[in-house]
Amino acid sequence: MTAICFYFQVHQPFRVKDFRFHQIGEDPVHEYEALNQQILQKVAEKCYLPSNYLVSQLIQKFQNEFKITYSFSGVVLEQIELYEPLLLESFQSMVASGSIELLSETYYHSLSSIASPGEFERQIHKHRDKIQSLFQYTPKVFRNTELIYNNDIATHVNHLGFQGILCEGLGKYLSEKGPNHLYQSPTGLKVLPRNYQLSDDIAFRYSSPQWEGPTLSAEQFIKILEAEAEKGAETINLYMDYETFGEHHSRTSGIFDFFSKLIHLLIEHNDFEFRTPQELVQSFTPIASYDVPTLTSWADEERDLSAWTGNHMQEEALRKLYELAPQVIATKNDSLIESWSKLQTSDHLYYMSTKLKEDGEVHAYFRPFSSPYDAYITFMNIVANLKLQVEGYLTYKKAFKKGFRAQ
Amino acid sequence: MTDKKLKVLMLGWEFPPLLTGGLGPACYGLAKALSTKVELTLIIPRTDPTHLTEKFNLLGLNQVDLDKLAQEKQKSKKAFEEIAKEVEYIEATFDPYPFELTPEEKPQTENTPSLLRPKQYTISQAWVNLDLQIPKIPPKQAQKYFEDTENYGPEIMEKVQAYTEVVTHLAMDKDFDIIHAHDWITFPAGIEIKKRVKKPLVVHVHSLETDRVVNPYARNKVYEIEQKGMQFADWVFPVSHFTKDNIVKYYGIQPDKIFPIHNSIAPQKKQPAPKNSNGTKTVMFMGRVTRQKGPEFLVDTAQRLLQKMDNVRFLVVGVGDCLRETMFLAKEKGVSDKMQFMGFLNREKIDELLCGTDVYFMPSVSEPFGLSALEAAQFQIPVLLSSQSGVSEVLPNALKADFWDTDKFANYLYALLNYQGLYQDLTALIQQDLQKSTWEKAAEKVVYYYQKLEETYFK
Repeated sequence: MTAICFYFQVHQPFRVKDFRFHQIGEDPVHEYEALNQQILQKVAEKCYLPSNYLVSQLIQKFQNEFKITYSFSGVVLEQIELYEPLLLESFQSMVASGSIELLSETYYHSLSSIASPGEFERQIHKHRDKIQSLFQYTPKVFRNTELIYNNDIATHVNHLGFQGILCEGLGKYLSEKGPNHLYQSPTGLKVLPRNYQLSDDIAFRYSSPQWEGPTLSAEQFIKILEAEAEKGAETINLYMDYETFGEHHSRTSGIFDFFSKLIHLLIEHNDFEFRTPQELVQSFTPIASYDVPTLTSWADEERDLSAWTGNHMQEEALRKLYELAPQVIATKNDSLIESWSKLQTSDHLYYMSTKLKEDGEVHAYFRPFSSPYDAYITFMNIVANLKLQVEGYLTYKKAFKKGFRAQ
Repeated sequence: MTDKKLKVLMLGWEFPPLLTGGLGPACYGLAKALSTKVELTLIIPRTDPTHLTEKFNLLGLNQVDLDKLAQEKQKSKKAFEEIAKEVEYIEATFDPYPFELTPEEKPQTENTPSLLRPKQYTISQAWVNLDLQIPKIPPKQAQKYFEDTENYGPEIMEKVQAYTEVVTHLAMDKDFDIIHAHDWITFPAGIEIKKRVKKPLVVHVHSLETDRVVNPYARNKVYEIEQKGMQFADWVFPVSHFTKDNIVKYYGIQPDKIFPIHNSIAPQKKQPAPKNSNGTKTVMFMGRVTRQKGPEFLVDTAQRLLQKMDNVRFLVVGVGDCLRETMFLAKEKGVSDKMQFMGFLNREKIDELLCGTDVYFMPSVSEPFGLSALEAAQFQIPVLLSSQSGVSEVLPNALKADFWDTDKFANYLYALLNYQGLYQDLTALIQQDLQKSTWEKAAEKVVYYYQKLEETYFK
């Protein structure tokens, strides 16, 4: 038996409005609410709602034989609560069925794992509280933003008490047996590497001309999975964005039918069974150590951090934002901390990438700005604005305390 | 076809080192790159004999001493041959010249050069066709026009006529396959030559009257010449897609014979000194201070920026008919202490200023190309351009906004002057843009179109 582990990422950032330099110190609002609502509703209509309908049907039909995994960022859950409450109910009922596993991640889908260990923990706890309050569920396995991973992160996550972690399965760090097994970090955390070849066959290459038909077919994909199983695969981990269904590949491409057919064929198949990350880390034994000294991720050709820290603009933006951390925390003002935290969402940095070619096109597809420069300038203006807000608040607080004492 | 080099007769107007705008350097850059690929003969109104040219025949009409030619011819053939040696093909073009005249057309006195006397030949037909009311040129005047260091000036129409007449006659005896005329001033000559020799005509559009007078509905003599030239031309080479669109929109020329050829710039030899990032920042505006260049948007942007930051100054390099108006506007908006009007400067001085410049700013209302932006980019300076400019097509890593969007301009300037990461990335990426656009590539493209034209023309 080979395990099939499907995990879908659900995330939407709080996008910011066109914030010009003359608004610095004048305008406390950073979010582009209308756009966020519009995009969330669009994606819900095209992807989340029809996909949930399909998954719910499959759960009903196959009960415990069919299991899949989701990870929600805190910021997407906030938006779903705000703009699509019915969608939240749909997710809640799916989770209540018991066929769904939820993963832990940073609330703000941030790069805090590399920027600030304290902030990293704060966001993981905030995320846990959110998942508990909405789903009465406590995640046991962790996935970091965009599968950003190295030994240090694994160690940190291990200390926080998680049973396992998901990451990109990169050939040069895996044993010769490849990604289809359970691994272990040098400090003993169970590691579930993504089979990026097969995951991207669906996520990126579903409609590519390489297949026999107009798109990848369920039968073809089963054959690919069978070939992996023959080579001794214990678990094939297929991780992708939930938006793959209906958004990145439109409904008319047949992606929903493909998924439905694939699940049916897998259930009928004698060699495959559905497993979730928690089941995998509990039932399998790690075959080798997954020793990753450098930072890796599932993004772009390089699969490193260059999607978010690849140029001077991104480096500066990240540095400037986290430089504010001590002051922001010192305000103890929820609204300011919230503003600052939302800016940590990795998408803001992703928009600033100046990469060219295919990866550049992907960055541009998601970017709500006309250029990486506009994305960066807007972000920097907002950080400057936040800095003024924080400084102003601290000065006020100090003056207030002083005045209070004088009385 | 493959082995034979095409012979191209190129008609230019401005040429280094006597320049008033981007036309000269563009013409020179293209001619130089083309000279290895085709047999090029270039005719321009005047050349500086000290300015060495490379592999193409450069014929400046001011070096053809018309008076002397006419007189010497009368005196002795030997004397003429001496002159002919200096200017290579004069001897060959003997016939079309007016000093080979019928008796009744002979000069009244020996001292009167009769070269451009309208009676003597009928070249002026071109002007008649165009219905241009241009006074005929007094004989003595012609030489003066060619020697004038002012490329345009109030007598431009007369200069153009003189040019047309002389060039047409010179061309009659030249061997060439294609006529390539740069800008409206040479279009009448191009048309005239094409009519006579039935060779294909390519017109190169460096700027349009609708750009210069900042009115898309400008209808004047120059507009008429431009339109006529482009109608007569077999192919039109504008310097940008932006200009192509304007040609189609405002001149009604069919788009399928228009092929944009982007200008370029020769690599800069000297490396600019690193700028000190502290202290006052410098934003430079360079070009003719005319409505076309959008000086009022410069002032408005400055005013907006200065409300948020103080340590910045604006340099305005250039003169023009809007200079006084711009100065007044700067004073009115309270930014005159931050705006320095430098007037007209020579190349050396400009280079020196560019070395100390932080941002190059070009808010042109309608800029066919904008070569100065490439020059600035060579100095590792990030450039801020109006979207209504051709150069923005070859500089994808320049910041751009619509010329009227001064708030966006100010936002970009603020970011460039305050956020280091942007500055670093842009200066590096703009170098990549520069390397991608070379004169060599432009010339290859031109030759490709020449060949296509040659193939279709003589079928």
